[in-house]
Amino acid sequence: MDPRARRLVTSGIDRALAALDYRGADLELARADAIDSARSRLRAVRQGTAIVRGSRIVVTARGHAELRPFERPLAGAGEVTVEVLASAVSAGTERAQWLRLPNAQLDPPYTPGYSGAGRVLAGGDGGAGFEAGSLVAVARLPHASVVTVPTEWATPVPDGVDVAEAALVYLAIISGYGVERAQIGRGDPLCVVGAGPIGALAHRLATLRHPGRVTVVASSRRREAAAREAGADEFLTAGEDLDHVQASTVIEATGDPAALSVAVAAARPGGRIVLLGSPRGATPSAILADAQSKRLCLAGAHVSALAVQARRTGGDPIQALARSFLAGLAQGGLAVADLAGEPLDPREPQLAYRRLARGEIAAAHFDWSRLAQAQRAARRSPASRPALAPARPRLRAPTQSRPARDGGRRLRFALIGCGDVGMHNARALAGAGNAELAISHDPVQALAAATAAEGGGAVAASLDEALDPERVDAVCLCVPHDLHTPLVEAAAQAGLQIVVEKPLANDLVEARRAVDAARRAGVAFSVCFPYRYERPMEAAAALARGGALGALGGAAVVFHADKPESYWVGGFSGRAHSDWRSSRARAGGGVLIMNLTHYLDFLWFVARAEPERIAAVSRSRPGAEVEDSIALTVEFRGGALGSIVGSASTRGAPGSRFELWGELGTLRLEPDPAVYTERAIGEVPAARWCALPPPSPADPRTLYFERFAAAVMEGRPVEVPATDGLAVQAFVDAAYRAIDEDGPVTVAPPEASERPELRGA
Amino acid sequence: MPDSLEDVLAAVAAGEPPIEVSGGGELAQRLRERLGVSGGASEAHPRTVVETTGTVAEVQRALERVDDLGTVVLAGAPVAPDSTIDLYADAHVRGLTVIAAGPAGEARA
Repeated sequence: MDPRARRLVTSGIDRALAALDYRGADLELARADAIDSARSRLRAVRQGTAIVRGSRIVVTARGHAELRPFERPLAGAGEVTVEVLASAVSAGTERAQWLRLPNAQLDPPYTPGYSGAGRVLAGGDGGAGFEAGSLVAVARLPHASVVTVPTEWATPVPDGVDVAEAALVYLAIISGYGVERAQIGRGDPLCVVGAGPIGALAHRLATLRHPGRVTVVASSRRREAAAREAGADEFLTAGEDLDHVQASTVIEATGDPAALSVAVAAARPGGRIVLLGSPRGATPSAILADAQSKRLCLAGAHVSALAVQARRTGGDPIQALARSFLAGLAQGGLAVADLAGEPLDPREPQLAYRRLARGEIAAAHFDWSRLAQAQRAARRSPASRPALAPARPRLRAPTQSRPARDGGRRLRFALIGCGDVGMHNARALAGAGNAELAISHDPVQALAAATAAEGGGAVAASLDEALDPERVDAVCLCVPHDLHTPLVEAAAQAGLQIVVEKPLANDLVEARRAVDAARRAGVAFSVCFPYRYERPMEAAAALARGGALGALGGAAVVFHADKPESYWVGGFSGRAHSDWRSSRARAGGGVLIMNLTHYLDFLWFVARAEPERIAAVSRSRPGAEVEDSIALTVEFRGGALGSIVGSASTRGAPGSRFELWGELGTLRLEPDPAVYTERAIGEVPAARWCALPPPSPADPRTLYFERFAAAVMEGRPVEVPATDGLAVQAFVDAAYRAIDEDGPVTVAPPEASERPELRGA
Repeated sequence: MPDSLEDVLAAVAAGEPPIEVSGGGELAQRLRERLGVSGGASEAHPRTVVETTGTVAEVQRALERVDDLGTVVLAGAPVAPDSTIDLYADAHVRGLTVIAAGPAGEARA
């Protein structure tokens, strides 16, 4: 295609992809996928076959890999299509590529991989000797769930051979060529430098040629047992004296330029060194000088030279090496289960490569059977809609089951305190399917009348009347913080189930008194943290518990509000005139206890984060008792670090921020809730930002009351126990102590009874 | 002049023609006489290159010159130890055989 036509096609594709919401790097990757897909379709049409859709691992940028859909034509003449079951990881080379070591620098995007094995899905020209469903090993195979390759790349797998072991075929070809180049004579002393997959395979294949004494040299003793199991007479590490080895042949299989000096030291004068490992960098000339002094012979053994050999001789040395390897497996003379290594999930390639880079994986293969069939190998018409990775992955909203507002039993609530949040809770109860507002009470009777008008039920003139267990089952306390505990005690004494608006109390001592009172009375006691029931928050908690974050690394919270002056004398609505919010004794504090407590609860709810040490500073408005802004630095148990900042007077109130991150992923809860994780969890694609479900149309407070009521009526523990509120109160208490003491404070672990989930109580 | 001219010739016998001898010294001239090859780089890709200078640059050039699967005979003194040489692109990838057949002893400065 001429450059002008190419530009026209590319710009047309880009416009179409932009209309589908692809942007930036995603658009570039989608364009590459679309062009690749179009080529496959064109070939399929020309040869009159269908296409097959699968998934492949793509290194999309430095340090970034993901599983992406792709398409290939089904086999044409001289080809075979294979549904891959296992693809071998060449640990040394793929690690070098991931780390971009010298001579291993591929430009993203690229699909790594070497070889694999799987079932024949289709063979052109009558199958070319391969029956559909039969097992074949395929050399030069990328990490993909399906491939269409020339038939000469595939070799039948004899019965009884494990598919993950057969998947090593290309590594065995590479190693086998090195052994051929070694020209090992029966009884000749042999040394293999390197005990990774290539070195180990070379050692095992060389053993079939009956060498004399075999010495294996490696960088550590980690693989000594495997080497000795495979017949090594001696196992040395690179730092040990090698002069006694005197090998006729040394196979250098590490690719480390410095390791060539080890090979030179281990070779006898006039001996032969096979360069099997691809050198990752320039070789010091001093090593070559030493080799010259010993009159050694260096024999390069890269698999690409086999193709040259095949052209010159007219044979197929690659196929011959593959058949020899597979026969060795079938006959039992060759054992490679340890080299097939651990099965990796191909949906989590970034995690796999990061582990490989950290040296945590010695040998492994991708297990493609973990993918659903539709992702693995699905036949499609060339006229079907192309498979592209979604532009903006989004987690679907789960269905939230809610009780119907029918004639079933409802938990009857008394609402005590009918100011700002009281009105919110009255409306929430009015929308609940299994709970109802039965009584409203407030010292200002007009406020109670207003909530009753909004949420239903009667108005009680006195507290005793409101807490009458004949008329109500439960109480919802929406009063100034210093009144929480006395009213909890009164409600508990009346035998009512209890909901208290957050925070649990105005201080930790009062909070503990409240919990004790409810426990003694045997009534359910919950703190109203309704935002746990926002869909994004529920999804985040489920993902974190499913391992999306791994070990928690940190948390960042920035809360902004722009509270008007009137707030301090009447709340946001101005319905109830009172200055309790500005009193340290009554409210317990300012923006931390009033607003940030939701976030402190989220830290526990989503990530099970408990503070261990806290440092804090705060500022108050002139003349005010409570803080207007606060900044906390937190060390959580387990070592995660957190920064929590809140301000009640941020002009313009820009959006807040809330992020949690761990060793495997990140959760962004505000703004634009989304997850990025290296784990494949449910519908979340690994290593791509995926939006969390949008908020539920239902009021989260209504959901909170419904779940509380259901738990109480079914005799189950409530989902937001007061002990969670107690933990938040301890967090707040420690932060205020840090301010008062002007230095960091340690937070004592909660009592067993205060954290039953953690302590197993 | 190495004492082991015959060793070099034995190493050359492991390779295939056409043969090229690099360098302009006495050793190179004697090798050309014995091998019946002319001076200079006549073949686009000789199957065997005999390198006589012992310098890193010329050894690297010999590796680049020789054909795929070819043989490089190092007939000169050991190379200077204070440099580096790339064994990946040619010796390794193109399946070369590098035979050290020169004299042991001091490297060229």
